[in-house]
Amino acid sequence: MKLKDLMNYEIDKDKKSSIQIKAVKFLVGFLIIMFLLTIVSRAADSITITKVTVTQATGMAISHDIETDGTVSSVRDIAITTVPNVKIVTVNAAEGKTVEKGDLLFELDTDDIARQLKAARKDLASAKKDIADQKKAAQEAKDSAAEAKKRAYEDYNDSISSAKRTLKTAEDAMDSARKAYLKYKNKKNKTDGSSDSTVADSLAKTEEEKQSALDKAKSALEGLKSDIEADVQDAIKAASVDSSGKKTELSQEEKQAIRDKISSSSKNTALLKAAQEKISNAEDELASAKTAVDQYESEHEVIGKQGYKSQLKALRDDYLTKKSDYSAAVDQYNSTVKEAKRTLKDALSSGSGDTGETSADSGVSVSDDAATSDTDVSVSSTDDSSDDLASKQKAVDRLISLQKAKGKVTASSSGLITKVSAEVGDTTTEEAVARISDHESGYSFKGTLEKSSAKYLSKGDKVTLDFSNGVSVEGLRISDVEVSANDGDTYDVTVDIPSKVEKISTYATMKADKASKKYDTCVPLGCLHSDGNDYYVYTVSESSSVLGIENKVDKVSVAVIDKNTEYAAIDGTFNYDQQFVLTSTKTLNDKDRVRILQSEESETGYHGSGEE
Amino acid sequence: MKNKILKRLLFIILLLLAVLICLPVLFLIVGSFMGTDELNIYLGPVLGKSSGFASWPLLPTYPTFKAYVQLLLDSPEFFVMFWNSIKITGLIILGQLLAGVPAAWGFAKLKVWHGRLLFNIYIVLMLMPFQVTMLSNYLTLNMIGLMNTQWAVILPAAFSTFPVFIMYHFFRSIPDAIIESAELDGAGRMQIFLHIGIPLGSSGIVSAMVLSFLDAWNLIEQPLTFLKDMTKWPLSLYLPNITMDNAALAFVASVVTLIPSFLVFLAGQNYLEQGIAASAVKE
Repeated sequence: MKLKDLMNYEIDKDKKSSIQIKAVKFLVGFLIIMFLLTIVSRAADSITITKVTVTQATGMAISHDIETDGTVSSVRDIAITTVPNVKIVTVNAAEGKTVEKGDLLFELDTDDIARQLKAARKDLASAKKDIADQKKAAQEAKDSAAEAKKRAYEDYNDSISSAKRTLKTAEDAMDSARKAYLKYKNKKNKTDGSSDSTVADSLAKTEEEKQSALDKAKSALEGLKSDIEADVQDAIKAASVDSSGKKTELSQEEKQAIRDKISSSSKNTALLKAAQEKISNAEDELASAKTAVDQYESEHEVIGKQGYKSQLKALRDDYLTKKSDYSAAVDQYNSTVKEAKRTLKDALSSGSGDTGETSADSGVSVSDDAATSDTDVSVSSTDDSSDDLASKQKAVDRLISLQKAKGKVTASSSGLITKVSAEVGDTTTEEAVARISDHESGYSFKGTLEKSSAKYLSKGDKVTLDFSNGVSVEGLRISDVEVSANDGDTYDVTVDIPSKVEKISTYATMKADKASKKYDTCVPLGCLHSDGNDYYVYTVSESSSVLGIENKVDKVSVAVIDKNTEYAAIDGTFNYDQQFVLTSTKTLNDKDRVRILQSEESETGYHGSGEE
Repeated sequence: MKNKILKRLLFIILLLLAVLICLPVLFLIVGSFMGTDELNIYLGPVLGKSSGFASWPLLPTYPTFKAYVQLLLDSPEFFVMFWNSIKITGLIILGQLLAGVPAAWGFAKLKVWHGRLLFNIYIVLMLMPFQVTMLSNYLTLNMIGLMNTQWAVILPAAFSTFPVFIMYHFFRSIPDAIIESAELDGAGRMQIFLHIGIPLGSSGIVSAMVLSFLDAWNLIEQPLTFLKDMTKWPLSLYLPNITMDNAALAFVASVVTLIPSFLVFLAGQNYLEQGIAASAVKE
């Protein structure tokens, strides 16, 4: 078509209808297409829209389920020991096994036991023989010591007797000299004047009587001293024998104490004092009598004649000589007694080998010391031997009982086997072959927790222990939660298991359910999202649009107060019926359109039951 | 010859004017094939994203159907509004056919007491813009409980006076002799209306309906005032705020919205011309 034609174009009236019909056809076609596209777009929207499930927040306490594995150990273990050097034939004990009292743990080789028993019996017999020999030797030593002691006493007594006889002889000689002198003197007085001779005789007789009284008093004092010494010796002997009839050695201080005690007793003191007073009186009286005689003689000196005087003087000198002899004899006696005591002491000391100091005035105490020392030596050696014998006897007894039990080692009490240190074919040693926990003293569980879990637990909290043998025990309490010694970030938890809990095992799992306080807004953990350290939830809100009331999600930042593996307590202001997105088919963004698949009524109901 | 030259000159002027008038439609079509990035470049100065003056190419540099796919396959709300528009427009036209055609026939051919006066008063209502009658419409619709329903848009438009005015002139142009002949042959008034009036005035009815369609299709104030529920909104309210994010979508939506109007215009083009001419006839 040329431009000229186009410019001359006129609308053909006859063709109008065809354009109109085409336009109407196009319009109908357009509407049909739009209808189809409507359906397609709806379908596409239905496919592409994010579908979510929602839930409502509930008020509840957040419970923390804390779980950890650990080991169970007894508070006290009992060691199982048996006879050493015996081969183990079977081992029935196993770690972690619970046994009753009398249950078989090990079986030992009976031949080994028989051989051991034979050897042990031999040992025992040999030990018994040794002890018998020792006893015999001790008895012999004791006998010889007694004999030596006896001889020493005999020698001592002989020396004393001999000295006493010498003293007696001197005394008799002095007495007879004095009597001769007095007799002669009296005879002269009678011849010189009867009046005066009576006075002189009387005075002489008085002097003689006083001298005699003095001598008696002195001998009485000596006898008293001897009696006291005898008492002292008796007391020492009595003290050196204990209640069981066994002789013990007394020290010098102890002996001196006994001696002082007896000497200072009121009775003896009084007697000694009386004796001393008697001697003193007698000496005073003798002195006054002698003074009277001397005075009388001086008054009557003129009467004497030269011959009589010389005779009398000779007699008097004789008497005085005899008296001095007697004094010498007394000295000799004392010296002899002293010598004899020393000799006795030396003899006893050499016999016993005792080098200890003894009191100078007590030979008897020396002999006692010696005897006591001898006994001590024999007793100590006998004690050692007895212990040895007892241990050997015990070994034999154990072997016999083991042989009677046919080599079976059984549990001495009920409990859990915590350690088995012997295997089949091993030889037993002095060490324990197994350890059994003492069931009566109870058990304790020990486990380790992370700091994040441990912060919810404290002493006294109730826990449940699931033992590896399937037994579960509830209501046990935590006895201790403390920072682990090895790692500062972990905590050691200890749970006491009372003895009434039966059938426990070595390993257990501790479970604790610790509930927090009640929070107003708690949502399932699926509702909570995090962006770094910031937490947020998606809430569903309704908005009207061309398509009607539509659900949109809003991203709301929240603070998490507490949470466990299922729920989180969040801080924020929400309506009581606010819906939170729990799951979604796509990643959500703020203000996204969503379709709620179904109400989480059942979930909400569960929350309700979870409340406390 | 002189007349021929004048005619050609006039054609050229008119062609230029026509192209000028068609430019916005061309822009729409070109823009609907552009991507968001390309639109950003051209519309940036208009929307305040960049400085300078806006420009517009005749063809897109990187043509794409992305916006068409997004609107036609991924925007169910567009179709809700499209069908709302179809429903509202269809019912308005139906209402005008049922009420307007008899009214126009009555004013044109029936001997009504003070009919001329009544028609003049009726026509005055047509002269009043929507803003004048909005309040009284609102009170009335609220009182009879039609607010926030599509009837609030449909009913006032169905009884609009403008198509009556157009059809009146067509019915008036039917010669009275034909009606009298029919009366003589024993035809009743309804028979005369159905068998003589409507066929002879069909061009007027169609042209009135085409104009009413275009008017109803582009309603903005009425739905915006009377419909609070977005689900009831017509297509004319789709994307009231054009931003850079939905610019491509707005172009496509405009193109799609344009298609029914264009097709209806084509279908009733001849009648429309007659209608427009009829409304301008001096009595």
